[in-house]
Amino acid sequence: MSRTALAGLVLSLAVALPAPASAQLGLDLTAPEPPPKKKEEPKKAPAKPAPAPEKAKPREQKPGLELTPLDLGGKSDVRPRLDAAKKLLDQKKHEEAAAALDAVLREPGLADGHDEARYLLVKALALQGLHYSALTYLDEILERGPSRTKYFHSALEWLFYVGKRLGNEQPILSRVARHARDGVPPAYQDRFHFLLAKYEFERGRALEEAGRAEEATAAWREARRLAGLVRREAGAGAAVSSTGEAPVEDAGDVYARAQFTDGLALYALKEEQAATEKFKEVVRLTNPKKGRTGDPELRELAFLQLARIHYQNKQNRYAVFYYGKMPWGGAQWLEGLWEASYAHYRVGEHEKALGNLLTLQSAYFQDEYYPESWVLKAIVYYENCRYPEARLVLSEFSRRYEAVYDELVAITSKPAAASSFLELSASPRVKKLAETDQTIKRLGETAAEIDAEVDRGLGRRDAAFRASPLGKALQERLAKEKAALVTEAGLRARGKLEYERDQLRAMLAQALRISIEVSRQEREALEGSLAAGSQVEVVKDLRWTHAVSDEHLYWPYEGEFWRDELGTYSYTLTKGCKDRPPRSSAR
Amino acid sequence: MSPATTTRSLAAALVLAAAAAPGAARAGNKADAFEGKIRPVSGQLYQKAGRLELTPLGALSLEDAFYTKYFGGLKATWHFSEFLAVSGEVSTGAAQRTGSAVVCPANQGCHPASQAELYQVPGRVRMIGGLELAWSPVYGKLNVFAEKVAHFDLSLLAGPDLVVHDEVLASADASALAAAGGKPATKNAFGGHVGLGVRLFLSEALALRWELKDYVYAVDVPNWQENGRARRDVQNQLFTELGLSVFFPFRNRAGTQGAP
Repeated sequence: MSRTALAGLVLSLAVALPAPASAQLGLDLTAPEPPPKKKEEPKKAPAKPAPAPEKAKPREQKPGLELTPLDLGGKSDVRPRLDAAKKLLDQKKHEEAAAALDAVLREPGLADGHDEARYLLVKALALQGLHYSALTYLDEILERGPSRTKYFHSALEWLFYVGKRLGNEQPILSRVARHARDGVPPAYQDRFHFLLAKYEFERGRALEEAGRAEEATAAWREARRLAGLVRREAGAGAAVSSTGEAPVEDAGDVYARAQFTDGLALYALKEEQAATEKFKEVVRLTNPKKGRTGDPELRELAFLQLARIHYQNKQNRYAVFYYGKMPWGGAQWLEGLWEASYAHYRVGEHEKALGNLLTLQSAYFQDEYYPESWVLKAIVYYENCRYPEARLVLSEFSRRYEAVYDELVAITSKPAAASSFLELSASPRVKKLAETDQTIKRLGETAAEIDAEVDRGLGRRDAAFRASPLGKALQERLAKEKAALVTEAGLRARGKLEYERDQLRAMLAQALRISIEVSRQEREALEGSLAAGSQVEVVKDLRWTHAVSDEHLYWPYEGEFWRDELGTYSYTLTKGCKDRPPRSSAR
Repeated sequence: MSPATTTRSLAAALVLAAAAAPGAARAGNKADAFEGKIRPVSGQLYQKAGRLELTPLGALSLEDAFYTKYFGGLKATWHFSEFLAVSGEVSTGAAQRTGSAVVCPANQGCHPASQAELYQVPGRVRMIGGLELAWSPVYGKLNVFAEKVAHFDLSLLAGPDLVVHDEVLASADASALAAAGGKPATKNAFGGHVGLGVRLFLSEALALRWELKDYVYAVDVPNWQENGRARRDVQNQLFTELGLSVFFPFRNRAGTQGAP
């Protein structure tokens, strides 16, 4: 969280993509598989599924011999059972259907029907809202590939269906990437390309972090290529299932999201001007008056990115403009408000900078982690020769954050397994700090969703279902899935907390330096007073007014925070330096 | 310290406006972005939770055709929270005939009602004592000439009462009593009231309190016979009260309304 490195935030914002992207869940740093070839005719893919291997191998018959009764029994038994299960599905008796299909899967003698049973089981689970359970079976189908199961493409459609219903798309991102080479249903091509682009962008970030710059650049270029494959029409309506299996759904403005990813990739490739144009295009696309599928979160992120790029290039007025465009109370609004404080500070609008900090440090956001806001506040007071206030702010900063630093040191120096790092080591305050990393937050959210599926999705079903082989199997699969997520979150959290520990140490040192400087200035004022024989004033009364524009009313702040006033505060500097330093020449 | 500039709709209109606004319109309101996430006010300047409020008050009856009551009283309120409180109140005072208590017989000129005639009508209340439950859903502030801020709250009030009033007499009894120079006996009636209350906070310890209440109770009116006996008539006594509240302790209780 360095103010001089806002540029880094632009990239880090990628983790706050509306459908987030991160290096989570098996991000593969090896060279990607070649993309699906254009000559493929995806429309035909579902229509002409490769035969299942079991069916593809005709049983060898010896002259004069009949098929054994066992084989005949296996083949003849599975069809009625699958039909019965399908009938239950049609009657929306999903639970019974799932149990029946699980029973089929458990019988080795019914192997001929396992492929279909597995696919039907995915449907039965997904339609019950057991999305993560469905995902575990979807994995089994997708792993077989289109050559070994005719349900591959239908399963991909269900993957998109399930993904849309998860708190974030992360769990399906790596699955999409993994099966990219095997083609995708035509109706989902745009989403598929978008997700792949996002995956490649994240992969690029991971490669860059690993110091593999060339590969990172290649990944970002690939992300751009994939984002460019998303058609402009994507986002104007619902996808239509090509196999007729998965229910149709509105996928949102995929094109706008792809453009956004493209912008991020451009920025990562240091093509800032082109990136700016992309983000502006996203703003245009997400204009609610334009009639495309609305995506206010994406619009907010585009404004934030534009603001950051301008800030980074010292175009502070533009940055303030774009920060101001972020919708009040949006997901990134507070972050924007904080960053805008620095832009205001740079252009000498100290009143507005302090006003923003007032919001940031209000009781509403006391759990948010913005230690640098205290340092900025102290600097503003210092620059206005308000030494007692600066000292007070620094003292408050130390009081609040030295304890946090000690806690971070203790946590990061304690050996703990990744799987239990967050649970055992961290206080709620530190946990919240760890979750400022969007990937960790999303991992936590996914783990919580799995918990919810276990507690409510499975827990609220009757005891017979929970005790059934299927119920037990689902609990085991979900527990395994969650354990993997928690382990990854723990690993990332350790890195995140170590980083924050170091940042906080630097800030505490910076605060100390400011404190020393404040003391020096105060001493000089005192020495000046002694030399002059009378008190030397370092501040003078400033001219100020509480006049506001016609669109506003003046409400004096009296220590009480009103929700609808947040973000509108402006500090009245009634006193400032006698020789006020010239304001920044930055634009 | 620092001024806040914001376009704020007056909270005074909040209750009705909120009820009237369509869902979509409310969802589009600027203040709704944090709805359900953070409370409307944090660090509330004037807090009531866990405090005792004593209010010496004056009350005036409204819209009574025969008697105007000028009461003084005392009200004690305990605030369980910012939103919920119980009170006990006693008020008493003078009941004077109104200027509208005039009799206009047919073919004769109008004249002020005689004492005997006034003994035959209800409304001469001597004292009211009661309990009250108050729900205060609205805490707001007003911009006074763009210079000062006035904080207030709005409450809905209801509770049971004991109303001590003069007995309503039959015409013969009234004439006899008036001739003898006597006064009607007092009677007790149980009733209840509903009302609206407003506090205007002056400091953490002081507030102006204004209330409008409708006291409802029943009296026997002998001149109005039904089924061979005096009709039991329901009375509505409208009162307005103004008081100066003192809160104990004098400062907000710590921790009752800090973090959002």
